[in-house]
Amino acid sequence: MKSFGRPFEPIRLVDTQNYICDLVNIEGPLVCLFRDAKRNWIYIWCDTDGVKRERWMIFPVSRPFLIAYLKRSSSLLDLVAGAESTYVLDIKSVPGDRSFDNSPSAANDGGLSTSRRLKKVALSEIEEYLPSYDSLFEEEFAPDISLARELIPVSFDIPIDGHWFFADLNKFSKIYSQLYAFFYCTKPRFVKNIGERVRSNLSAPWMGGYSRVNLFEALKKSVPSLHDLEIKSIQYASPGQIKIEALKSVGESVAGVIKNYLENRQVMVDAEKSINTLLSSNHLRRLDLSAKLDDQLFLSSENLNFLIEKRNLIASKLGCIEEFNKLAEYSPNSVVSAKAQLALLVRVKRLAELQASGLTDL
Amino acid sequence: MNAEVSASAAPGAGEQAKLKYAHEIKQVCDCPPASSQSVDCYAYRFAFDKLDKSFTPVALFNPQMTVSGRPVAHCCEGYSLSMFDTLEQLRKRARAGLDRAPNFLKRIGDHFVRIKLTALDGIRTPSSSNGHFEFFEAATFDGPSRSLAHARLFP
Repeated sequence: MKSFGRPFEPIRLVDTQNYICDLVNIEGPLVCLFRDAKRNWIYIWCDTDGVKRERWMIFPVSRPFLIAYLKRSSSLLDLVAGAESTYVLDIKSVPGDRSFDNSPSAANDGGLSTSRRLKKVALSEIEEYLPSYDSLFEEEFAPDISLARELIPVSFDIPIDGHWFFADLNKFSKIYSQLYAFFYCTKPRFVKNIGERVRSNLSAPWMGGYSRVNLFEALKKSVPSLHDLEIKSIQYASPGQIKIEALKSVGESVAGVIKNYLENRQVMVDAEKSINTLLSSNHLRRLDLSAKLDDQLFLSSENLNFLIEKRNLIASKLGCIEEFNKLAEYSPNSVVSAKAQLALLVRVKRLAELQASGLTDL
Repeated sequence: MNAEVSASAAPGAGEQAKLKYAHEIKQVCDCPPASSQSVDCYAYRFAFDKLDKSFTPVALFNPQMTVSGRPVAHCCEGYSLSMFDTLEQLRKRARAGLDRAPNFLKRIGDHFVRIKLTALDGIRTPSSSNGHFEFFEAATFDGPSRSLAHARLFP
């Protein structure tokens, strides 16, 4: 393998990235899509010494470029050539460790017996690794992707009004992005492997508030940067608007649930209260129930039915039966599912409060 | 140059076709897929120049590889051998890999192996439109000795 000398880049650049899906999988992942807080990153497998070292080329790619690739108007070569910077990531197994990691996503998980090295390179240094002109996107090699689903983000407005403080802006952006991530991840999307990640998060020990925060943060990281909320403009006036580029259907789901909550506020408050009371009185708040099925819960069938009945009521009044069913399907049991639904309800309530106070008009 | 290798005798009739890696496969949901069947056919597979390196399922060969972000050891295809119906389909797949990563064959082998699969060798999934299928070996299956040809993919 060709060697690259110092200086090396801080490895934290890749540690901040999250795996989204394989863009090309031919006898294993060959091209992968990652994201960091803002950008899409492409990983292309480059080389191996056949024993313990694997090499990937990584680079950030803009939203329009990634769409062009998915629509087959640009090749992988175009993406590399147009990248603002290109890196080579070497992943090497620790001597004596027979299980060598050649997967960039696993390398990102931490805790593996691998060492990594990141080097910023010029295109001329990696000519031998460059894809060909024919490296167009092929759905056949991308089992994680469905181009039949909504792909292209569009601009839509979120009307705002009244007097905003920084705290309002902070609260709005945090809750809106969490709800956007929830509705993104609970419907079939162009990235098909999201469900498994939601399931994995719901299988974490749901004790106290820790997993609720984790769930929504994990959901946000599961949204490809391509479909993340990008602010195109903010017009602060009375009335004003925040112009967002994202998937419009997901924005409409968020708006719909807020409207439905406000129309059924008292029913929601009562349902939330009765679920909370049931969980507390049965000491289920702090128990790790991640490995239990419904019939293994310390809950009478009467209480279990009550929980399911309240869940269905909330789902029906909020107009998100499909999403709640998905949440129930991914959850190990009805209590975990109820806790996740309560966590969602809390966020819906907070956003509805902003709407009720006249700051937004979703 | 093709190196013809004579196939070993198939296991005796009536022998239970217990799968190799049955214990690991049991841990994976819906594995092997219900559509899998035992059939008599010829198949082609990527191989290294050393034949004995060429019949290890990826979950054992490289357990920390991922498939759609999941460890391959948790995936059904981690315990099967990837195969194609024809050599041309295998070459087409190789060319697709080379278009995206010029060193692709260093990863999976720059040879092919031609195998005769009999009903007692294991079970296989139906072929996809590109001729690809997964083969789940019977416990008695010995890949190298079942090989009929082993040569470079692109001479």
